[in-house]
Amino acid sequence: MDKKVISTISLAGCFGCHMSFLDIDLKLLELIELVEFNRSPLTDIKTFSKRIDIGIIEGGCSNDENVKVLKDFRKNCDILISLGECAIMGGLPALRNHLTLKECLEEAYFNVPTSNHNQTIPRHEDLPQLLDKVYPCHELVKIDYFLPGCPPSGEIIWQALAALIKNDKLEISKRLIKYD
Amino acid sequence: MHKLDLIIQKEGNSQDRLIPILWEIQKDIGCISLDTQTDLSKKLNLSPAEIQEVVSFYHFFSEEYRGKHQIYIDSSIIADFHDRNQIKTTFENELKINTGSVTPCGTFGLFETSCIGMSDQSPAVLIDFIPVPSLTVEKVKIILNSLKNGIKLEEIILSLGLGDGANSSNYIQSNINNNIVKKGHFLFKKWSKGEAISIASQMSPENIIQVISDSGLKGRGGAGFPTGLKWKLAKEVPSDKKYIVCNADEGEPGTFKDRVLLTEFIGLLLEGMIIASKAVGASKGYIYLRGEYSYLKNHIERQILDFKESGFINSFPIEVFLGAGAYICGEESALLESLEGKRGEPRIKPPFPVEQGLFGCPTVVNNVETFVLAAQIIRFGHESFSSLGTESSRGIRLLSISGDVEKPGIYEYEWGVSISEILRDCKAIEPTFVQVGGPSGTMISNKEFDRKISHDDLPTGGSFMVFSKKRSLFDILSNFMDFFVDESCGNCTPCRAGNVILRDLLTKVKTGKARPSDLNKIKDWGNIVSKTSRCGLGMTSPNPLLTSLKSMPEYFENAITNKDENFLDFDIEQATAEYKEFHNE
Ligand SMILES: Cc1cc2nc3c(=O)[nH]c(=O)nc-3n(C[C@H](O)[C@H](O)[C@H](O)COP(=O)(O)O)c2cc1C
Ligand code: SF4
Repeated sequence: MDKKVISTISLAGCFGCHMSFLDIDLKLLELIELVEFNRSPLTDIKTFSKRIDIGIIEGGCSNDENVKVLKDFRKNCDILISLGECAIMGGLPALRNHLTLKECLEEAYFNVPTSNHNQTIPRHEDLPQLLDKVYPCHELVKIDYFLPGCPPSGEIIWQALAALIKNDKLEISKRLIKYD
Repeated sequence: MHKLDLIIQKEGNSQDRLIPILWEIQKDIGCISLDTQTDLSKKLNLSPAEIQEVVSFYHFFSEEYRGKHQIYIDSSIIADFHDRNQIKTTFENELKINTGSVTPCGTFGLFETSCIGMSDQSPAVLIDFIPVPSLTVEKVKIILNSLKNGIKLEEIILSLGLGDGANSSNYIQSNINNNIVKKGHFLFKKWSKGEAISIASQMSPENIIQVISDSGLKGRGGAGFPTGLKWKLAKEVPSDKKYIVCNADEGEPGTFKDRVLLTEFIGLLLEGMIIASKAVGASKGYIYLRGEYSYLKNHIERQILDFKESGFINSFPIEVFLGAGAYICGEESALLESLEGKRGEPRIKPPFPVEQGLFGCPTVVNNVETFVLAAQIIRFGHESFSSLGTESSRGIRLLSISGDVEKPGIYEYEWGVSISEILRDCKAIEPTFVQVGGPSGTMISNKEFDRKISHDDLPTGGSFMVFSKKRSLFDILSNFMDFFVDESCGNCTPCRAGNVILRDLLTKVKTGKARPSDLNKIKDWGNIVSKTSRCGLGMTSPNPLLTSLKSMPEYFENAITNKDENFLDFDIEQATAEYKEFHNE
C-alpha cells in the first residue's frame, strides 16, 4: 500500500489540537509506517509539493491569511478534516464575535493591564488583516469530516486517521466524544 | 396606598396571579423595571429571578419603557404582502424613530409582533393593545396626529367607523369586521340562548360524552384529538377539582376564525364549556384569551355575567385569562404553565392535561371552535354533524381565508372540500401556492389543487393563505422561519438551534449562495428538528420548507446556480471592511 500523504495546519487555534495529535504516543511509530507528512508545522514544510490525501485543519478563520491558507488546503487535499472546536465552531477566538473589531482591538492593545501604553495598534501590509468575525472552516470551504473536542483526544485522532487510511468504518465509542 | 399594593390587593398574591399583575403594571407604567420586579418578588414571596424569567418570556412585557402609546405592527406574511413596509415606514417617519424604539419624549413606542389575527383586514397594528386594521398611509397619519393632539384612542376608533356585527356593540367598539363570507348549515343555525344547556341538563354525563363521541367531533385546535374521548378520559380520573380550559390563543399566523367566534358565538362557546363541565365534573373554567384579543375581554365577561344572571353557571365560574404575546402558549401544556403564572414552556407528556393539567388536576383543554361545535351537536344531535364531512373527518370546519383573494374572511365548509373549490369561492387571484394550516401546516403548489381538506390529506387548524404568482416562495418561507425562530420557547435544542440553522440554509438558497448539497442539509435538519423536538412547535416548524421542497423542488434547484461544493461564497472584501475602516483605509 502506498503511503498516504498528510498535511496539517493551525489557523486561529492554539496548537492544542496539534499537541493532542502528538499525544498518540507510540502510535506515532505505527502511523509513520502508513503515512508521510507534507506541508505541516510538524515538518516545517511551508508549501505543498504533491497532491495530499488528507488535510487536517486546526482552528477557524480569524484573518485573511487564514482564509488563503484554508482555500489552499482545499485545493490541494482530497479529504479535509476540521479538527477540534475552533475549526468546527470558531471556538474560543469566536468569543470576540459579539464585539466590534474596534472594541476588541482597543481592549487588547489599550485597556488590558499588560498594555505597553504606547497607544498604537500595529498595521503593516505584511500583517494579516482581521476579519469582522471568526468563521468556522465549513462556512468557507467544504469539510469532509469533523472531529469534535477541545482538543479531540489523541485516541480519536488516531482512530479516525487509521480508519481513513485503511478505509475502515469509524466507530468512536461514546466515552470519547461525550463532553458533559 | 402604593400602586403595586393596590394591584396585588385586587388580584391576590399567589403565583397564578402573576401574569394579570404584570399586565396591569405594563399597561400602567409602560414597563416592568427590575426595581418593580424586586418589589413584586417580595410581595409575592417569589425570588426576583422567578419574576424576571416570566417578564422576559412574553413579548408584551418589557423591562425597558415601551412608551405611553405602544404600537405593535403585525409582521405576518399576509401583512408583508399588503404594503406592511409602507405602513411601517410611515409610522417611522411620522414618529421619527426606528421600529424597536421609543420616541425621545416617551410618548410613542414602535415595535413588531407576530400575526395579530387580522389577516382578512391587513395590514393591521395594535395600538395600546387595541387592533386597528385595514391601515393606509392616510389613516396612520390621522391616528398619530389625533393621538399627538391628545384625542383618546376610543374616540379615534369611533371616528374611523365601527365594524360589523357585535364589533360595534357597547362592549367591543372596534374597527374590526367579521367578514363572514360563507355560512354553512351547521354552525350558523340560529342560536337560542340556553337551549343546549337545557338539553344537556336532561342528559347524564355519560350520555353527553356518548353523543359527542358518536358525532365524530375532533379538536379544532390543530391536533385533531377526538373530543368525546378527551372528555371521557378527564371524567374517569378521580379528583375533587377539575378544570375546563378554552384555548383562545389563536396564534397560528393566518387564523382568525376564533376571533369571529368569540365575537359572534360567545354564547354558544360558553354553553359548550358548561356542557363539558357537566360531562367531566369540572368546577372551574378558564378562557385563555390571547393578549392580541384583549379588546374582546369586556364583551366575553359581559356574556359570562349575563349567563350568571340567567342562572346557567352557578357552580361553574368562568374566568377570562389574558395571555401576553407568545405563540407557544397555544400549545396546551404551555398554556397551563402560563395560567399558573409561569413561562409558557411546554411540559413533557405524559402525563397529559386530562390526567394532570392545571395545578396538577385533570383538565380539558379545547379550542374555541370545538366547544362551539359541541354545543351545536348537543342541540341538533350527533347525526346532524356526523352525516357531514368524510369518513376520517366528520362535520364542518371553519376556514380563515386570507392573502391574494378577492373575498378574504370566514368560510364554513364540510371537511373533504377540495382546494380548487375553495379557491373558486374566495375568488383567488392567480393562485400559485397555498399554505394550508398556517406556517406549521403544508405548502402546496398549483399542481396539487385537487387535494382535499381532511385529516388524512390536508389537515388544518383553519388557516388558509393564498399566494398569487407574483409572490416569491422564498419570501413566504423566510417569513415563516423568522416566526418560528422568534416563537420557539428555547427549551429544547433541536427547535431552538435547529430552526436557526434551517433559516440560515434557506437564506443561502434565497440569496443564491446555496450549493446542491444544501438541499439535502435542509431535509436532514428538517428531520432532526421535527423528530427530536419536545413539542408541536418544533415538530412542525420544518413543514413549510420540507413540503415545498417536496412539491416544488424546481424552485429550489433553479435558485442554485453555483454547483462548486468545494468553495463556498465568502466575501473577503466585506469581511475585512471593518478592519480597513478601523485603520482609516
Ligand atoms: C405551537 C402550538 C400552538 C398551538 N396553538 C393553538 C391555538 O392557538 N389554539 C388552539 O386551540 N390550539 C392550539 N394548539 C393545539 C393545542 O396544543 C391543543 O391541541 C388544542 O388546544 C386542543 O384542543 P382541541 O382538541 O379542541 O383542538 C397549538 C399547538 C402547538 C404545538
Ligand atoms: S419544540 Fe420548541 S417550542 Fe417546543 S418545547 Fe422545544 S424549544 Fe420549546
